[in-house]
Amino acid sequence: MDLENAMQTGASAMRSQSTRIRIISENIANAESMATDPSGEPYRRRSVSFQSELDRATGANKVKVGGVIEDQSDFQLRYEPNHPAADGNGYVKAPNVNVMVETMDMRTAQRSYEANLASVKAAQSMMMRTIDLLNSR
Amino acid sequence: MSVKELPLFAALRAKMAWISERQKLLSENIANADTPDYRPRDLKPVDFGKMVEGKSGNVGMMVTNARHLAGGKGAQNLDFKAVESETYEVSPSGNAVSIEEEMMKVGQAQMDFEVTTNLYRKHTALLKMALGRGN
Repeated sequence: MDLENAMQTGASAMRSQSTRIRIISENIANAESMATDPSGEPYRRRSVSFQSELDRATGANKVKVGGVIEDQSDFQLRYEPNHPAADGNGYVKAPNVNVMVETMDMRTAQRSYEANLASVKAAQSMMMRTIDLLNSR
Repeated sequence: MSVKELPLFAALRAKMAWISERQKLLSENIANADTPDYRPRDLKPVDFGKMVEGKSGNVGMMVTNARHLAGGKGAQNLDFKAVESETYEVSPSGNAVSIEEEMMKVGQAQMDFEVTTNLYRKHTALLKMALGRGN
């Protein structure tokens, strides 16, 4: 059934988007997680990538989380000489998380989630319309 | 001849099948709005008017008995072709889905579906009226 497939595809996308939102929340939560000694590394920003996947049982083209990748960009440096993780010059490595970027990413994920929800609702209402043909007096 | 073989009903059913197939593709597009290198797809439009007029292109043999094999009978044997839809922009990741455009298409599909089901309902009512069951 095409409409069922449409709903399953939407559901899989919503699942993937929730994973994305989870990873973004982790990034925001750990925006201040630094190391405890100068040799250690602070929290590294992570991001998800999506992948299209064919469900052979139903023929639906679903979405899955392809992988969670660590952002390899440079850490921020902050001047905090009295921090336990400060190096000889008094600089501390802070996570490469930009809270603004994360917030925008969160908005995008939310928008995608809502779009999928709307398409699932559309498929559902079409299905209800078809079923309603049964009781057309 | 059963009700479902009436050309109009066959056309309406084909239209409904076409819209659900399209809805499936559209929801795949929306679902893959963040998948790298994904290109949106859509169904090729089918001329349903021609189908009602009986000019669907593939001429089939007349079926005079319900047990006859149905060879290429217009509405039932439609194959829907999915083609890459035209896109306006491609994001740096290679994704070309525009959620707004897809949502518009979903809305349109939904409206078309309502029209089709309402027509179907009207025509069953018409047949019932002809049978003298009133409405």
